[in-house]
Amino acid sequence: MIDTPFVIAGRTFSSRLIVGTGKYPSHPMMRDCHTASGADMVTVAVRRVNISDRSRESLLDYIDTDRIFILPNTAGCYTAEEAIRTARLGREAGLSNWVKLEVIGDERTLFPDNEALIEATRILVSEGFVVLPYTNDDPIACRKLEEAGAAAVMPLGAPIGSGLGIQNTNNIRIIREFSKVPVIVDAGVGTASDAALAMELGADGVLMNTAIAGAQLPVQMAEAMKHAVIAGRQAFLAGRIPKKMYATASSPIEGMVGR
Amino acid sequence: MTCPESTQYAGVVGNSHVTITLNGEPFELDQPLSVTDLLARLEIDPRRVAVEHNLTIIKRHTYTTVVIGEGDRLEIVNAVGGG
Repeated sequence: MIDTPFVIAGRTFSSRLIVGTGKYPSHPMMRDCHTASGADMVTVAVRRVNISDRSRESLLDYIDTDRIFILPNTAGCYTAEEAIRTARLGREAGLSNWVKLEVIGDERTLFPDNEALIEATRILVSEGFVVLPYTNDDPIACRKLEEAGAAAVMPLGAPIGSGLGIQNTNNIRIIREFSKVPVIVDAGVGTASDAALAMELGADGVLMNTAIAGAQLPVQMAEAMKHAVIAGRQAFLAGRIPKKMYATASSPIEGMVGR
Repeated sequence: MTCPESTQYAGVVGNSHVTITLNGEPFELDQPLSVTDLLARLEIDPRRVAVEHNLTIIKRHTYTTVVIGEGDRLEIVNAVGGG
């Protein structure tokens, strides 16, 4: 089965894997991971410039912006106002009028504040932003975000950086069924099988940072994730067999030697 | 940190200092400066940052005309690694 292109807000991406730029051991290694992952969209955070130390190289020197689209985030924002302010700054910094919108509701879990998230989505959409909200794995929240104008919905698989894998596979499936916009599983992936599972459930894409940046061999993990996303997508399109309790022989019962 | 009394500014008329809040910290200037001049002095590439002046984002084409003066609050941000 030939796949449909991965399109968000009219823009086509060649990879269904979106990766982060945080927590890598070094900028050169990040660049190598980006190449190995095949991703053509990466997230960045928007933060104060370090005034006292101007010697540090710019992150952007290590992102091939001819090939890779930059998605600024609003990570660390706890109110709609903060997130909107950060999104506007990211746009003015020339990064993009797209935003991975995060409005966090709790420090320990980094779970989103849905109410504030929906409000911020509505406002940013009215200002011309392409909004990709990071949300709970809640089909109703996702529906409300879509109604607020989100260009995609990005339900978490598990808490950010936890590596726990997809905790509620059924919800991801329901969200996919409900949504008219792309569904991107964002956060919680720990290893390749988690990414493959997200895609097998029908997700249109997967976004991850720590699973690659925190691996013992990040470049190798980036490549593993590339294959996992492709494999999971193909398996989804191919249509898996139903699960059964008992065995069904693969070899013929007839013609056994000596019977 | 860039010294506010660097030789570059020696000889500026008057010695009244201007104190602003830059990225949350007090910062001294010899005189009010345009955004362009301030970024140049901080050795910041203006193409890669956004500047917020007293909670209002400054449009790039006005960097030469907007002047930063006493008591102003300035935020200068750029892209850093994130997920």
